[in-house]
Amino acid sequence: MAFQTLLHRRWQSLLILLGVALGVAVMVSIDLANASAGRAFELSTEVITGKATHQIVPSGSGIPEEEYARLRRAGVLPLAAPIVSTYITISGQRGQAFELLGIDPFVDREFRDYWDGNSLNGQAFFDLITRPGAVMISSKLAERLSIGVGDELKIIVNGREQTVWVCGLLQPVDQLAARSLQGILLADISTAQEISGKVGYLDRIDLILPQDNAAFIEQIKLLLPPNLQIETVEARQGTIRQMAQAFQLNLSALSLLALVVGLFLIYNTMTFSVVQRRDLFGAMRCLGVTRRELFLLVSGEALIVGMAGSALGIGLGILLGKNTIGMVSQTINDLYFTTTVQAVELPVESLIKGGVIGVLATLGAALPSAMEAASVEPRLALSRSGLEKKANSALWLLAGSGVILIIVGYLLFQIPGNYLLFGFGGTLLVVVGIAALAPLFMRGFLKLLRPVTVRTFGILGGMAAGNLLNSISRTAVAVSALMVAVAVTIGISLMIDSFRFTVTQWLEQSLQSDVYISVPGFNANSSLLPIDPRVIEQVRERDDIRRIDTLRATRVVSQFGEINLSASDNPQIGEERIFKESIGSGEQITEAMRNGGAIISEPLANRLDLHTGETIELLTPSGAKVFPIAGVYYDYATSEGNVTIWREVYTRWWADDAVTAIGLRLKNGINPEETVRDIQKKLQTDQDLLVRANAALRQDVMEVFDRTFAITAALRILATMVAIIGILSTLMLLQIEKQRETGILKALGITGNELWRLVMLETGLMGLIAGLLAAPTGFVLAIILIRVINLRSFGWTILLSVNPFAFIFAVSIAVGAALLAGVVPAMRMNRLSAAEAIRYE
Amino acid sequence: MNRIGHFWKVFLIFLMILAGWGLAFAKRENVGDSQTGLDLTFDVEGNFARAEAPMEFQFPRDFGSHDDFQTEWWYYTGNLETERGRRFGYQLTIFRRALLPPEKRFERPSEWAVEQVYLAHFAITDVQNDRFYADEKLARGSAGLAGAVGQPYFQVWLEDWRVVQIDENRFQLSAKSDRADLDLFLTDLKGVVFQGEHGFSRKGEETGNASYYISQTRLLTEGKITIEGQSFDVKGLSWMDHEFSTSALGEDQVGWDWFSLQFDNNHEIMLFTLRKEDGTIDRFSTATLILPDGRTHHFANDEFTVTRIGEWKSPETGAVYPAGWRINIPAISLDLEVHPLIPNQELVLSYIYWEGAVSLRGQLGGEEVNGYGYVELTGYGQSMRGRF
Repeated sequence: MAFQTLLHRRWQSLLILLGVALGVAVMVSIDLANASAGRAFELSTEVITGKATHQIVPSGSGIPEEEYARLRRAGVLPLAAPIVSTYITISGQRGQAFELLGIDPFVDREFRDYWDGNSLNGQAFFDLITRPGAVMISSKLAERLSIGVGDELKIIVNGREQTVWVCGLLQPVDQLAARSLQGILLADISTAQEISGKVGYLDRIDLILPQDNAAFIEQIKLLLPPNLQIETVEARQGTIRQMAQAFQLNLSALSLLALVVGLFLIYNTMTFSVVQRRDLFGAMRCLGVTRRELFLLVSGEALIVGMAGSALGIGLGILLGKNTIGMVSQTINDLYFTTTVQAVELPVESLIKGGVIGVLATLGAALPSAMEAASVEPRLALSRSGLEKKANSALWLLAGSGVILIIVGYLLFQIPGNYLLFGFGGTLLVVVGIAALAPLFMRGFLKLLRPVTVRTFGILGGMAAGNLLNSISRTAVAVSALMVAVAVTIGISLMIDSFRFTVTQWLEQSLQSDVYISVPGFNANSSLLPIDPRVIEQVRERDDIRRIDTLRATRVVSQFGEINLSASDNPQIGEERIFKESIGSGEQITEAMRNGGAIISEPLANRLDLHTGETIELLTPSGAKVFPIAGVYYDYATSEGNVTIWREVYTRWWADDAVTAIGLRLKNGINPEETVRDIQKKLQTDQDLLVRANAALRQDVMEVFDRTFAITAALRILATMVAIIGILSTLMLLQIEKQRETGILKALGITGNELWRLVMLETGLMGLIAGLLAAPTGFVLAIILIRVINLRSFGWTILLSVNPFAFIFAVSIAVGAALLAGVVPAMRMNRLSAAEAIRYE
Repeated sequence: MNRIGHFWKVFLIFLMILAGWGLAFAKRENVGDSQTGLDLTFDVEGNFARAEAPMEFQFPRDFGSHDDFQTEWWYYTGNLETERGRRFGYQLTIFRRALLPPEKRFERPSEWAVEQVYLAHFAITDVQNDRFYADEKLARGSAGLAGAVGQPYFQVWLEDWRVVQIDENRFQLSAKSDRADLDLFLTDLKGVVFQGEHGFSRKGEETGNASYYISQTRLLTEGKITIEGQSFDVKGLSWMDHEFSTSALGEDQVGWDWFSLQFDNNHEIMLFTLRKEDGTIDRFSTATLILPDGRTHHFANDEFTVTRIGEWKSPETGAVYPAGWRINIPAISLDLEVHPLIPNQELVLSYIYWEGAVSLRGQLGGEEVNGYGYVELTGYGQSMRGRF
C-alpha cells in the first residue's frame, strides 16, 4: 500500500528521492575520498614499515651508519632492519611519488614479506646486492612502465636525474601487496645510499620488539647517542595522520551539512503528504485501520523512498567520488604526507555507511509525520485552518526550542579542550536552532511586509503574502532549508575569503626576499631536500645581490615527538614575522634567537600548549638541548607547526650545514624576473632547482591554497543544490495543493500573466526571507568556522575579513533559486483549465 | 691435510642460505613447493685467487680474511665442563664467501656495497639435559657488520658473534642466541698447526685444486655458558680451523664424516672420510696426528679405517646418521671407540647436518687414552643435488 501511495504521488516521491539521493551522494563522495586517502596512506606505509613495532629515528639529518653496526655488534638489537628511503619521481611519470626503499635483504625478511620468494631468483638477488643502481619493481609497475628485467629507468632524485636498472621483478603475494608495491622501487641499502646522496647515513632502523619490551628499549637507549630516539611506529605516524584526520573530519562535517539540508526537505515533503491525506486517514481510521497501521504505512513510504534514494545516492556518490578522491588526495599530499599508492579499491564501508545513514535519516525525518498520521482521530479530519492555527501556536514553541539549541550549542563551544566533535556538534545545534527560529521570523516578516507588497503589487501582492502566511507550516520548512543552505554558502565563503586574506597578508609579511631557490619536493609547502652547496657559492658571487638568507628545514625530535625545525639566518626574522605573543620587539626576538632561543608557530603552540617564556627541548647529537621560546608567530604553512631557531645555533648543535632554501634580496632597481632567468641560465649544478621570484612563489602558495579549498567550494554548491530541490518540491506541492484555489481564481478571470506573477511573488518572497535570514546566520557560521573549527582543527588564527559581496551573492542565490523553483508550478498552473483544476478533487 | 668436504659444504651452504633467504621472502606456505623449482645459479664466475703452491704465512695478518679467495672459514668447536663435571659442547663457525671476483670489484661510495657475505652457525650441547641449541646468522661483509681482520690484532665477527684476539695467544669468543649465551677465553697451547705442506693442502690432481689450511688444535678454554637464563662457569679444550680456497670438488661426493679428537695425553687427531655416491670412500680422505710439540703425521686413506658402530634416526628430519665409530690407524697402534655425548646434535638450519660433541676411549701407541672431540656428518639429512 505504501508503494502504491508513492506511485500515485510520483512528483512528490521523485523529489524526496532526489533530496535523499543528493544528500547521500555528497556524504558518500566525501567519505569515499576520505577513506581512499586513509587507505592510500596505510598502503603506502604498510610495505615501508612492514611488521616493525618500533623505529630508531634521528633528530636532524640521518643516523650515522656506524651506529647501526655498533648496535648490532653490541648485540642489543633483537630484530632490526636498517632503512634508507627517499621519495623520487620517474621520468615521464611526473606528479606521482615513488619511494626508493633501500633495505638490507639479509635481515629484512622478517619485516617485509609482500613479495613472492619466487620472484627473487638467484640472479636477481645477486644483482640486487652486488651491482650498483640495481632496483626491483613490482611486475605490475613494470607493466605500467612497459619495461622489463635489464631495462634502465630514469628517475629524479632530489632534483637530479639518475639512471637505475631493473634487475628483477617482485611478484606481489596478493592484491593488497600489489597495490602497496606499485609505488615502490626496492634497492639494496648501498644502492639507495648512493642514489639518494645519503652515503654514510640511514634514515631509520626498524625494530620488531616483543610485547613486553621495556627491558629491550632500556638496553637500546643506553647505547643510543643523544640525537637518536626509539619510538613506536604508531607514535611516529600518529601525529601526521592526526593532522590529516582533522582536515578529513572537516570535510565529513561539511558533507553532513548537505544531508541536514536534505533532511529538512524530507521532513517537509513527508509532513505535507500526511497533511494532504488527513481526510483519507480519518476515513481509514473509521474503517478500522489502527494507529499502528497508519504509522507503519507512512514509515513504510519513508523507508521505500529512503532506500531508493540512498541507492541512487550511492551511485551518484561513486560518480562524484571520482572527482572528490582526486581532490582530497591532492590536498593531503600537498599538506600532510606523501602517498605512493594512487589507485585503491572502492572502500565498500563508505557505501554501506552512506546507505544506512541515508535510510535512517529519512526514517527519522519522517517520524514526526508518521506520528501525526497515527494521531488522526477516526472521523473526518480537521480543516486546514484549524491545522494552521495549531501550527501557529507551535511556532513559538519551535522558536523557543531553537533558542535553547543555540544556547546549548554555544555552551558546547565553551567546553575546554580541543574537541573537534564538540565543535561540530555545537555548530550543528546553532544552525538547526536558527532554522527553528525561521518560521516565527517568517511570520513576523510577512505580516510586516504584507502592506508593502499590497502597495507595490496590488491585490496579487497581498494574496502572495497571505497565502504564505496561511500555509506557514509547510512553507517555513522549505524556507528554513533554503536558509540553512545559503547560510552554509555564506559561512564557508566568508571563512575561505578570510583565510585567503590572512594567508595573503602572512605571505606579504614573511616573504621579503626577491628571489627564492629550493629543491622541488613532494609536499607543496616546504622542501627538506638540501641544495647543492655549489649553488650557494655561485649565488654569492653575483653582484646584483644585496643579501642572502639561507634556511635549513628538517625534522627533529622534541620532548613531544618529531617536529619540523627551520634554521634561518635572516637577521630581520624578528620583524618579518607577525607575532601573536613575544618577549619584545622584533630586534629583541632576533637577538634572543642568536642566543639560542626559538620561535614557534601558532599551530605548534596551540597543539602542544606552549607559550612565550616556556621552553622546548630538542635532541641534538650532543644531547637534549633546551630552547627558550621567544615568541609565537602566525604561520599557515603547516598545521603540524614549526620551530624556528638561528641557523648558526643549529649548525653548532647538529653539525649540519645543509641549506634547503635560499632567499635573495636584490640591489635596488634590479628586476627579480630577470635575475631569476639569469640564475636559471648560469647556475652550474646537476640539480633541478626551483628558482622563483617572490611573486611567483606567492602565486604557487595561493594555488595550493585554492586547490585545498576547491572541494569545500564544491560542497557548498552541492548543499545549495539540495536546497534548491527542496524549495522546488515544496513549491510544487504547495501549488498542486492549491490547484482548486487556482481553478477558482482562473474561473474568476485571473490571466496567465497574473498567475505567473502570483506564483513568482510567492516564491520570490520565500527566497527573500530565506536570504535575509541566511545573511546573519552565515555570518555567525563563519565566525564559528574561524574561531572554533579552524582553530581546533589546524591551530591557526584566521583574521575575519567580511566581503559584502558574499551576502549579496547569497541573497541573490536564494531569491534566484526560489524563482527558478516557481517556474514549473507556474507553468503547470497555467496549463490547467479552470474546470480541470476545480475537478481535481 | 685438509678438510676437503668443507669446500663442498661451504659452497652448498651458501647456496642453501641464499635459497632460504629467497624462500623466506615468500609467505611461509610457499616454502614447500618452491624448494625444488628455485633457480639459484649465480654468475659468480671469475678469476679468484687459487691455492697453487705453499705460501708464506704471516701472523697475525693471515688470521684475517683473504678476500681474493672465494671461500674461507673460521671454525671453533670445544668440549667444556663445570667444576662438578657437567659437560657442554659448543660450535661457532663463521664462513665467508666472495660474491664478486677481484676483477669485478671497484670502489663504491657506499660502505654497504656487497662483495663478501658472511654466515655463522652457533650451537651448544647440554649433555646433562640432553638438549641441543643451534642458531645461525647471515650478513654482508661490509658496513662493519661482519668481517675478519688479522691486524692490528685478529678478530672475526658477524654482528655480535665474534672471536677477538686479546693477547699474544689469547682469544675471547662470544655468541648469543635467544636461548643460549657463550663467553669464553681461549689460550692457544700448541701454536698454529699447518695442515698439509706447511699449510698448503692438496685436494685433487688438478693444479690449484687445493686450499690453505691452518689449525689451533689445543686451545685451553674457560668462561661462561648461559642456557635459558642459567649460567655455568666452564673449563675445557677448544679446536680452531681456518681454511681458504677457491676450488670446486667432483660431483660424485654425497657427504663427509669429519673428526677432530683431543686426547688426554696431549695428542690430537684430525680425520675425515669423503663418501661417494657408490658408497665407497674417496681416496682424498685423510687423517693427521698432531704431536704434543705441534709436529704432524699424515695418513692416506688406505692407512686407516673408520667403522660405524651405531645409528641414530632424527625424529625431526627422519635422516639416519651414524652414531658411534671404531677408528683404527695401525701405523701408530691407534684403536678408538668414539661415541656422541648425546644423539641429537643435528643442526636444522637453512642447511641440515649433524655436528656434535663426542667422547673417545681406546689405545694410542700401546697407551690407554681417553678424550673428547667433535664430529661432523653431512649428506645424511638431505640429498643436496636433489635440491638443486
